[in-house]
Amino acid sequence: MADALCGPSTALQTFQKQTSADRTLQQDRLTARQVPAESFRSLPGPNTGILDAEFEAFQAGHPLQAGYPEPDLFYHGPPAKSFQRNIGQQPSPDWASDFQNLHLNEARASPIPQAQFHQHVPLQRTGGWHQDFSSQQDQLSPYQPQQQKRPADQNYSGWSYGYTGGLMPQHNTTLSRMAQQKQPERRAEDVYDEVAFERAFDAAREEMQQSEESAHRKNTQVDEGLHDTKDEESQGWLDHNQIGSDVILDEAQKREEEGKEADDGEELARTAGQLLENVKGDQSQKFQESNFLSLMRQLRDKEVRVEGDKLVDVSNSSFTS
Amino acid sequence: MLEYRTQAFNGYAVKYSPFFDSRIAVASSQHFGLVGNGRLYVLGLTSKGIVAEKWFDTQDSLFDLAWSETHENQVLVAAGDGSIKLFDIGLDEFPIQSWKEHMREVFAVHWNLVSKDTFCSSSWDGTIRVWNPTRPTSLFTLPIHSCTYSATFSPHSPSLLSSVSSDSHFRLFDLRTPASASNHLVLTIPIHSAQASTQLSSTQVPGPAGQFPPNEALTHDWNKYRSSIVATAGVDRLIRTFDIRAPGQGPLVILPGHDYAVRRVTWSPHLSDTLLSASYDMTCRIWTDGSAKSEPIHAGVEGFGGDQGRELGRMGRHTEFVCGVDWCLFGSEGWVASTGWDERLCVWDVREFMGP
Repeated sequence: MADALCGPSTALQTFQKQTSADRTLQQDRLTARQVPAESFRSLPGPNTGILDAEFEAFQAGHPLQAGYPEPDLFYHGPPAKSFQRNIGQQPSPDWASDFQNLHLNEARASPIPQAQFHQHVPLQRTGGWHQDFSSQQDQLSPYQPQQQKRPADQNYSGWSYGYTGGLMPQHNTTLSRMAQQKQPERRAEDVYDEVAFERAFDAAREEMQQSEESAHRKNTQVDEGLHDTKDEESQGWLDHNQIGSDVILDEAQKREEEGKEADDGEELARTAGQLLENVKGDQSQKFQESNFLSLMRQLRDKEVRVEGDKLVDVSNSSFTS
Repeated sequence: MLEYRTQAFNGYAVKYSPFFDSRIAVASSQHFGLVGNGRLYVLGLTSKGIVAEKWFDTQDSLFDLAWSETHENQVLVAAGDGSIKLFDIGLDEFPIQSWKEHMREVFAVHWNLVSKDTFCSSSWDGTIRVWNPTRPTSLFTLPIHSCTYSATFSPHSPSLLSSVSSDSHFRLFDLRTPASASNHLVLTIPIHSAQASTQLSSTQVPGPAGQFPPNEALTHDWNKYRSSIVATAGVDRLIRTFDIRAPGQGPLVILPGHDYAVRRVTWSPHLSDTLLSASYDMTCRIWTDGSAKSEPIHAGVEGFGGDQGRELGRMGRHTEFVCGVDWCLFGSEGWVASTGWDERLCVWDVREFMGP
């Protein structure tokens, strides 16, 4: 290591420094930025900028959350944009303190609500903090009055509450789709009082167990449903792919098998008979002397049989073609 | 007339080398192709007659052959077991490449004459396959859904491919079109369709309003000078010409005359109106489709022309079904080779057999 640090730098070491740096975040951001550069696209995509706030927070070293939110399946239109604007106005570190202002006081007064808040996090299993926030507000309807206690400049969360409420069914689907994603468990722990947390957790654990199980079951069902659809789709696609020549080949194989079942000798004799029937009227010398037609006659009269790769004369006299 | 006896093997196809005027290849089969082996003859025309320069035996019957357009020593053969083999006549015994994808007998192989880097094959399994000789598998498959006796590339375009099949249809594929549900198929002409009234000819075969029942089509060929003209023939004993620019108008010319099915038809490489056919009636016949009326042709055929096509002559030397004919590309325009089930290859000049 000392050599690597102090010794003469080699090209390989320099290269290693370049490649070992993780630039995936910057790259993601850069590719996302290219979208508006295309002039014919008047509207940026629904997901444009959705990571920006989180990226800024990450760069600033704030423990915002553990994973990316999955891009929202549903384009929410202009509301999404105003939502983003709100994010810009309110730098992400603020939201944590908002939470503290909101809930922590209550939590200290009575452990139950805080416990509910904490158990709510695993329930939601969502990647996007804003979705967490808004849907949590949805389901914590008893605490709506408390939200109103927030400072007046916090209007965005109140607004997003109404928005989420209006689109609740869709939002649920989105949430269940995000179920696999690692949930941001550590968000508030550092801020909250550990002891109060433990106490609240123990107290509420039993109470929430049932609802958690049922919710989990529901989620799994939705997930299974999704998988089922995918399976069906992929199978359907495979079926569709087998058209044209493949189907022909199948038919040919079937025909081949059927052909083998039938008696080849009989078949050949019949065909030869038909052929001779067709040329029966022809009295020309050539046709009378034709080797091929005489072979056909022998086949028809079963004087000659096909055995493997050879024509075998059944009527003793040696056969030459 | 020169002759060569393909002892114990019945000829199915003959082709002149595109590189040497003295080299001919014959694809043949034992026992008329019913059972037994196949043999590819490579014959040389010498001052001492026709001599076998080389031959290759194959496990299964051979039904067609095509010379490579890129290598003067290589020949393709179509075999009864569904395989296609490429032989190098500089080597002994074994093919240098063998492709086995067709499920049934392969009836035709044809090299792309323009791009020269692909060839096609057609089979009883109802498909045409297009191949590159350097690749182990086919490039793509064109489904026909009917036993396809004949498939050829257009001599005028590297991407036009045509076929005729048992269902009495001529099909044209344009490989430039996207490979969509139609599989490059751009044109289908029912060969048995009625002639347009403006095309009614003196050679019109009597029939109810020019209607014909569908019959198996066995062979077809592109005119070497008029890029939209093809000739087809088959079990109904008639040779027809079509213009692919006007597929709806039916055959341009119908040439009756053969007593049995026509096994092969080929346009002259020298004359734009001249056809050669081989038939199960044991004759080869020379035809004009009547399109060269005003053109001064060489002195020997002043009688050419007339408004409609007609038979110019016939060669009856073969004593069994004639299956293969080919024009010589070199020298004077009349030389052809024919082969049939009488174990004979005949090299002859069509002018010997043409009437006054």
